Amino acid sequence: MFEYLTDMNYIEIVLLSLEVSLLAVFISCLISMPFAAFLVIKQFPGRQLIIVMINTLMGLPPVVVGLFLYLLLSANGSLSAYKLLYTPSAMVIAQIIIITPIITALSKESLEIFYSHYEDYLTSLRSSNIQKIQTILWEGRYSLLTNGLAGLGRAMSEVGAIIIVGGNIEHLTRTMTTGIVLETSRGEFSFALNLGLTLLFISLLINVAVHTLRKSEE
Amino acid sequence: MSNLIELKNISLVIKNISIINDISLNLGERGTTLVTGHNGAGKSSLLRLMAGFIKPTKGNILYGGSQEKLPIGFVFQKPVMLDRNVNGNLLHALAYNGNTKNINQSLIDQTLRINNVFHLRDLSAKKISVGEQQIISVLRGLIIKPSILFLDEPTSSLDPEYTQIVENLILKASKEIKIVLVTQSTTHLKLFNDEIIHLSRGKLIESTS
Repeated sequence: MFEYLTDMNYIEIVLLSLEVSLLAVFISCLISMPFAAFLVIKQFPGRQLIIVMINTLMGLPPVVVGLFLYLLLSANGSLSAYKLLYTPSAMVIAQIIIITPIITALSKESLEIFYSHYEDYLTSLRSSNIQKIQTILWEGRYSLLTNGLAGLGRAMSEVGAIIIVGGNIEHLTRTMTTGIVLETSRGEFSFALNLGLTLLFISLLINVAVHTLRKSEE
Repeated sequence: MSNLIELKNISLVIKNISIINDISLNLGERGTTLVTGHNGAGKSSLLRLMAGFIKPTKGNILYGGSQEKLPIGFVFQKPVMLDRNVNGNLLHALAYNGNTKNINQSLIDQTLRINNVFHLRDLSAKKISVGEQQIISVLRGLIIKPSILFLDEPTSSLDPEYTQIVENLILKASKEIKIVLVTQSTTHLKLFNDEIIHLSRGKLIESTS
């Protein structure tokens, strides 16, 4: 793995993977965590249906996401004017679609525990719904960070959708996972294996971070 | 004295079990009201109804003659502390309540100093002793200047020293606001005897004032 540490092509691939996945997770957290908190504190008609849909979307096949996004972004698609196909932005969008239901569902589970603990106290303060959401998001911050890291792990390992909308273009949209697919098909097993080991190492770091956070929570 | 809380034929049924059965009550603006009774008598449920945590199955609750809820403080049997320091807990109460928007650090410092707990200000509220947590809970309930302070067996898990501190805080507060206290303590019956409500199996057995 170390022999590639000076290979600019290798570094570029690793950095793009991190950039795309971190941005996707960041945007996804901004959407999913407040939405999860809203689902926890507010009872409204259709809430159960939304929860069932989120749980269903957790198992969304990435290649299907890639295909739908490709059709939207391609020349005849309704979003073709934005010229996003085969760009890192398209890959970020694909990852957001894949991980948002996962982070939302995990965050809802975590925040329900916090809300059951603080609900009466917040009601006694006559807090508004926004204030309740702000409070449980802050009180559940360590659990939410763990959920975000779980989303990052999922995003980093994703290949099906980003290879379709990113195109696996060298120096532009090649990530570790799409790079592994290409190098394996070309018989360049050494490069593919090194990308795989790097991915495994980053996954290990994420899992160590999740584990440490969980321990500190306890 | 005018009525701060009026309960009109209140009933509460949960899963076909009658928890509160047709209770009507009037509570005045100041002083203490003790809610007593055996385990399962419906004391905590009555307190939660009055505080607006749950809605009655039947009947009305009026606050000062209207259905608009009044600012309240609530002290739980087991202290509910936010995962931040004591100062952060008091700041949260001031910032996140529907009554006052007076986010005033000097008010917090003054409150802690007067009650000899200023040394706790920067400590994690979850890591101080249960007795200290309950004192902070009472101060947090009072700092928002509520019309009513509800307390659900606040001293049941405290040692005599902290019990006395909490009782003194309640006694002092009862001169300015309404205190509604659920208790099984005989000491409380002697100490806070403005009004006593005795419940049994969800029914009002006796109300003395």
